[in-house]
Amino acid sequence: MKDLFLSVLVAFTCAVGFGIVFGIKPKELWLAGICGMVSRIVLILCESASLGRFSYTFLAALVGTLFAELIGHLRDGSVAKYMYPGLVLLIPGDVLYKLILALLTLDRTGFSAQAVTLAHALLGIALGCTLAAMPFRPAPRDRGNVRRSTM
Amino acid sequence: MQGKKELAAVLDFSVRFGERVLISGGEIWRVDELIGRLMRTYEVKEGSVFILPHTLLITAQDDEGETLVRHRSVGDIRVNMEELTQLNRLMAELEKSPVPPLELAARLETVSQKPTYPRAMTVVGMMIALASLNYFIGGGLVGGVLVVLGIGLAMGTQMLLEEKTNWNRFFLCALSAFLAGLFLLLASRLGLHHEPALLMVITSIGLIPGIPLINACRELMNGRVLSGGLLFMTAFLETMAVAAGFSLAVVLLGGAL
Repeated sequence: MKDLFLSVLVAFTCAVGFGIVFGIKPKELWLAGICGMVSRIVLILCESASLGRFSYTFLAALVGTLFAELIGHLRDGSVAKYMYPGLVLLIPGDVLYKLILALLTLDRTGFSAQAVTLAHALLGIALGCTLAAMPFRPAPRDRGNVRRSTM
Repeated sequence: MQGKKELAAVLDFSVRFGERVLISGGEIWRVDELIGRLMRTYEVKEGSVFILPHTLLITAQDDEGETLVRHRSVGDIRVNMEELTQLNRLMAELEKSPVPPLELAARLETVSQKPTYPRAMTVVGMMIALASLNYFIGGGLVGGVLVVLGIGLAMGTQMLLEEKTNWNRFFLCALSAFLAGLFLLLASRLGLHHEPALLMVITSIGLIPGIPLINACRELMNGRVLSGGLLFMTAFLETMAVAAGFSLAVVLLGGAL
């Protein structure tokens, strides 16, 4: 229980730290922190329910993004400033480390295993964010007479 | 759109607005979309927007068929979500209730360009974030202190040199990573921590250009291969410079972790 509490608290400080880096206003930093906490709580709950890496990162990203979308729409319409700091923690730094270590030590088996885990985690985050954002995104508007020239 | 003067004011506003969105960390497709909306609001004829990571080009025709062009060379990204939010809000307001074109410049000035925090504070923010990440990755208490000092040294040096010199950005990335790597390796040689590689990975998270990498991926996913590719290449080279800096520190101290 103590570990769980500490873990959620550290998730809050991590999101607040990244919030400062991204230039979020002081009075809104706590919301970014809560977003980090929410996704961490979901992650811990799903992990304890023995779900796989893909499933728990997917669900954590989904719930974290939904929270950010909700807060963003209730406030000033900006979602990224709550979502980015809140979801940074889901990026599997430990797996990335083990992957690089396996690469440097030429451990092919370890590298393959870590690469698959990393792919699962990143795919889970990407899908979770995308699915959660879908209901909030309006369909693209007609561009009228403006020509699009970005490539 | 009425006369040439009004059209010029809309285009001037568009390039300055677009530049600020890009610098504060907005995506290229977002700038394209926002300027497109502005042009429709002001009924600009034959409006065209061309954007690359460091270039913004807008053209339009006035009532007499003469083409007006505005170009802006865009500087490096300094992520500021607050400014980005305010710029988005300004555009939404303009769409809802457009002001006369000649008043657009004044409206843009109402959005503060001042960073939310002084640069030193962003270093503190990164220290807090990385200390927290260190907890999750398992670097321990001493590891956390070393990571905080390492990122402080790296980011502090980078900021100082950016202000005082005109050195190449990739070189600055490599140099700051080299200093952090050297510090962490020396600390481990002194017996303060037994996994310097782990600490270097955590520290590197603070030096890698995260937002540009995310934006690059989003551009590519949106099918904008050229702008996404250029963004990705810049972010990738910066990441490689960071890796080179850490590697150099490892090689200088005997090549073993």
